[in-house]
Amino acid sequence: MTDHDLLWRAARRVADDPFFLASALLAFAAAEGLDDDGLALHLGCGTDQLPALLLCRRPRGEAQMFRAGVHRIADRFGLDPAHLGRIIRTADALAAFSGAAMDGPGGMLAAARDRPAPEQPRAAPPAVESPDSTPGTRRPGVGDE
Amino acid sequence: MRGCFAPTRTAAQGVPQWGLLYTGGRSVGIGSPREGPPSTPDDERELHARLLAGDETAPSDLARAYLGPLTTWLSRAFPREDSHLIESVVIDLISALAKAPARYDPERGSLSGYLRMAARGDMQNALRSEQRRTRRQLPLEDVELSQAAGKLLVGSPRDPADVVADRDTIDPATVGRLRAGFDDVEWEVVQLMGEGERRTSVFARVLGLEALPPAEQERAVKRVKDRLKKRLQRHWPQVRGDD
Repeated sequence: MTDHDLLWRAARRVADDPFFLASALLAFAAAEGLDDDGLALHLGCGTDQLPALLLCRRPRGEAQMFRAGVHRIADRFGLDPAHLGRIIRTADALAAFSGAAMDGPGGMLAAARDRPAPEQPRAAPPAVESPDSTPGTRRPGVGDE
Repeated sequence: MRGCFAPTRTAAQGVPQWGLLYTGGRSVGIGSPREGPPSTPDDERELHARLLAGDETAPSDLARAYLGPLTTWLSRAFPREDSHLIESVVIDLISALAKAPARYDPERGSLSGYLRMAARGDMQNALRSEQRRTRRQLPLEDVELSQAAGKLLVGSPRDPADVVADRDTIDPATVGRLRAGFDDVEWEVVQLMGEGERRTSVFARVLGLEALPPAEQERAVKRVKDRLKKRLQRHWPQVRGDD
């Protein structure tokens, strides 16, 4: 296994750990149906840079601290900080919405059980992660087009 | 000379190189996959300080700097073990240190030394767990119970370097008998071999051969290592009481 493969393996292994940026970016990619190339394209970096980016610490704290963290990462990887910040916040929202919506009585899972399955898959925005949209899942996405 | 971590870019592609940009003009890479870990104690302290300060890019630099070298080192220290397990141990160790950098104290030694020691310990713990699981499946004649340490010694190491690499899992009395066959300098060389060290310069320093030209250093170091390997091979069965 090359060092690059090792980095990828590390990034996948910490995908569920909120300490690492991988938790946000891979969740976002899964929700958006982006594969690795698609995520890199969306972020504006090369695919080979992705594992190192994923292994950064996830920016945290209130607005100013969060912005500073996003800028440090964006500067290092040559990314647009505003875009990166939006992606992380989207991932946060997805996680919060997913947690609130999927869990507990009256949540979306419960609601879904009361409804027949739709005949056509909806082309809705990525509001909720599907059960198979685990981080790291490779699915065709915009990067493949 | 103090330096600071800063991104540097190739002119052609604008690709960040994750380097240590030194104000004094010396640029020391710390992160690209083919480069080694921070090369000086100052580099290591700088990286550790960034981890402590919560720098978002520091965990990535830590992983890029140490994942490869530490995995290589651990693979050499445990050459017969599953590479997947070794990689998992190293990844978990690096991510744990990124999250809790205070567990490393720079006053007690180098970061690379700490990581090696921790990796060895974590690997031994993982193997002990594995041994506990498989213990009842082993044929009795293959198992030697070390009463002093309460640990299992299975079979004989194929490579003498394994003896030293696995010394923490061998009971102290056996290690002591092995150690008695070597003087201090020789034992240091044996330990380095067991840890997978390959740099001639490191052995040359221990052996006091630094004044020799590089080619001569290499030959002299090889001679010493070959001789010590043979002695280990001869010595090990006696130490184990196989003879």
